Amino acid sequence: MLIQLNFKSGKPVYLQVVDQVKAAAASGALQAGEPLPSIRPLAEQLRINRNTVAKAYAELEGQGVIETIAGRGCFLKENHSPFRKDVRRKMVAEEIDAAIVQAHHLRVEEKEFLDLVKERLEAFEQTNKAHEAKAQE
Amino acid sequence: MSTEPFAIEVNHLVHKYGRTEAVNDLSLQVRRGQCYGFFGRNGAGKTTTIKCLLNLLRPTSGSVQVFGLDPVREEVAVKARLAYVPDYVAFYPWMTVRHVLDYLASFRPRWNRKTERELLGQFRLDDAKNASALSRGQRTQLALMGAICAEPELLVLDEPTSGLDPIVRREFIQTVIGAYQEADPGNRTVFVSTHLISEFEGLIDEFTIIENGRAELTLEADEARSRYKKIRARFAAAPPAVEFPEARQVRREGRELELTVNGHSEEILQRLQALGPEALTTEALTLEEIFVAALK
Amino acid sequence: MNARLIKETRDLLPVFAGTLLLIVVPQLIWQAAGFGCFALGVACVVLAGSSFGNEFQHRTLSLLLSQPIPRSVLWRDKMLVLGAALVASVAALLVCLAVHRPQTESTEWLVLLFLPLCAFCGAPFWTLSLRHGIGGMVAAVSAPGSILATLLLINELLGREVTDQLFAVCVVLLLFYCALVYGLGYARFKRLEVVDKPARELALPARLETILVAPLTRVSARFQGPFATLLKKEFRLQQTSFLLTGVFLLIAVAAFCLTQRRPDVAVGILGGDIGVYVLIMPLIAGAISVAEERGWGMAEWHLTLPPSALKQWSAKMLVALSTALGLGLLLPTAMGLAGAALLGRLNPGVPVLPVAQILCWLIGSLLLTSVAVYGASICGNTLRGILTAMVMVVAGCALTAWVVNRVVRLAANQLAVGRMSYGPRHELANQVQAMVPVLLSLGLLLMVCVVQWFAWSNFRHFRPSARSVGTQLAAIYGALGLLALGIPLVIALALLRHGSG
Repeated sequence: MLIQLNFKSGKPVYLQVVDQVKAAAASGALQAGEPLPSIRPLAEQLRINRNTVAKAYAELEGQGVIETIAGRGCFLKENHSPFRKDVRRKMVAEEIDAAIVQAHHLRVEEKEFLDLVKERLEAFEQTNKAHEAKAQE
Repeated sequence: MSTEPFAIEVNHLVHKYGRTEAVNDLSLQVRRGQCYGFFGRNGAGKTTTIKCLLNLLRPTSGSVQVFGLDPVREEVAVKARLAYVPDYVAFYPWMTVRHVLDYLASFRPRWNRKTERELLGQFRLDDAKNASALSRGQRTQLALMGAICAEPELLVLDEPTSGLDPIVRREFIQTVIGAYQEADPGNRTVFVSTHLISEFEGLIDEFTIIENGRAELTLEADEARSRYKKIRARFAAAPPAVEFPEARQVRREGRELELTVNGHSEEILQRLQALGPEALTTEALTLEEIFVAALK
Repeated sequence: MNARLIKETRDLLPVFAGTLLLIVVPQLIWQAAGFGCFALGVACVVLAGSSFGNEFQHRTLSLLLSQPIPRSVLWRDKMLVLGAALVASVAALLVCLAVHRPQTESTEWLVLLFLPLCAFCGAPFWTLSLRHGIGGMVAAVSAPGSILATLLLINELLGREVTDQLFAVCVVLLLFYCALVYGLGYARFKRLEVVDKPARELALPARLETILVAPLTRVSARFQGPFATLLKKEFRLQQTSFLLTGVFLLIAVAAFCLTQRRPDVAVGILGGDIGVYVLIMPLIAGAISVAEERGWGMAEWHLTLPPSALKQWSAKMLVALSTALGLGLLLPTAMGLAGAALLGRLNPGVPVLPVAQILCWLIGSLLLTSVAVYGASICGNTLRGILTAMVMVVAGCALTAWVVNRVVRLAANQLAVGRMSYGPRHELANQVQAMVPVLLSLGLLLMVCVVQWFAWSNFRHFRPSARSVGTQLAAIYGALGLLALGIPLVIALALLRHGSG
């Protein structure tokens, strides 16, 4: 799993780690039951504060994305989230809001925006299919 | 162990040398377990402040407290809880690497031989080599080893990586994260003064920018990165001469307008939208760019 | 505690070895108690000043003072090792003196006791206050010296004689001074602030300096060009020598004023003043010219500038040698003559020394300066350069004395066998007398060339290895030995030929 940080994104560092772990889980780079890198080596590799990585992992654990097994490390949980549906909806709604604001700034019209959403959903499904095909090989 | 929340507390510190005021009314606080960055131009007063923490210089007025103790009055108690890596690392010319480490160990009640062995191997330092024959990077590594193996609660670094090659710089930071922080995560404080801000960007929790002996800006790193933004707008024709008093810096070039803002980004974006630009982008700033923007 | 004491001892070891050599070797060869005391004085002051001066020079003060150890313990460690070194030096001198001269007077005991004591108590304070190695040492010597001088002066003005009572007062005052300055030094160390600037220069306050130097600047502004700039820079470097000359002049003038009242005391002071000055001045001028730039870390940079290394070296040597000659030899001579003329003691019939003998003195001064230059070129440090030069001079004199002794004995044996008869005595004496200075000056000139050559090669290659230094020293002393062998042989052969002719 490759995590790359962007200090120009304006996002807190630990959130970037959280998001990238989540993205890795969603794209299949990290599979259920796979171990995450330990805190110290990850912090050394990214050259960020060890406590930031610890905070990110704590957040991930709080969100139910990973679980810590004592003595063995952190592992990615199975893909069903324990959150209630409305909580999950709310989290996705936040992301959609951010995208809408960005579209507004960049003068992307509503119709164009919805077309774009469809396009990206199709692309995401394509990637998933490709990964499943590969996993079956 | 005291329950003092702050590892370092500086209150209205003033230090005069002759007639120059190196430090003039500086205040900052470093909580335990934080990685605190101390940024400033050359000659801004960083080294003077650090020396006041160690009783290498005495404050003219104001107070300095390390773990709640006064470095002037309780010198040994303060120094027993911290380790210092100076900007100019010099050892006695006849000492070998082993001698230096044993010499530094003789002052400390706790000395981690295991960490010492690991770091010697990691840095590939030869025990029997003369300290004066080491390159600058190796001398800094040796000084860092001497500081970390003593297992202090506070690590004070003064311009630790200036003049070092990129590989040694990375290893330095990795050692601070790994060998130092990992041993006791909540209780290991790092106070680093540097002007190579991009190197330490990931490490820093909170920072203070010192300019002309005064604290120009004190912020948490994440907050700073979210508040400071660079907004670029391109117009079809030359932009109207509208003022942006809330922006820190405005730059006009032909049809383009570039604003550096600290907070207030929403209002400014709205006003720019109203002017009908061709393109409008927002970009957050790295700590180094924030440093430059804050001091211009 | 052991690691710290070991470090302090190791730090002081090279200087201690040098000073021990300086004390012991002349005693073994010449048994001169006066020189022994002088050497002990030098040793004490250098040791005491190095104790803290080394920390400044190595720039390890930050490292030392940021360790979790009370400053009182650091002070105690340094003073312990320094005290041991001083006691060892005194003991060495006493042993040497006892071997040759079983009896020493009370005044000598006093000197032997007070020299190390004043150095021990005073030098740390002065070094820490002035933050300058040599300056601290000069002050450490001048301070008790001025106390004694003031006391004697007061005694003079009151018209009293030098009595035992006066001695007692002197002793008490000195003890008081020692206690005071030790306490002050300790207090200063406890409150020492590490400013971490590079080594300071020993200089007058800036305003006084500009006033004194103003006429010179106006004159020198007319000379431009790279060589002239180099010369100006070199003269600026030598300002410590000029300061020392100033001190010498002050003492000489003070002694001169005393000649009316107490001619014997005045002559004694003047003699000591001139003696020390004439010996020390060339060494300081020579060492400063090379070592100060090394100490400031500028030597390498200078070698990268456009003027060739040879040009820079010529400028340096020109200034160093002329300063040593002018200030170290010509000035005292002129002053001596002027003083004698003022007192009306100058006899018109005093024979002026023959040219060859004057030449010997001049070249001797040049040799001293060159040895100091060489000493400074192998150490990086003015003080150690001077010390090395002193040790080298003493070793050289010892070697020469031994070889000449051997040759003279051999020649005497040959003469005793009676293979030749003597010609008229006074004719022989005149011939020999004419030859000796000429040969001596030639020999000295050769030595100057050899030493200068090696110093120049060290300057150019900047960091001579231990092996090359060893080879150089071997070459220098080899040449010296050959000369010491050759010159008496030539004289003996001349005697032979003259005798048999």
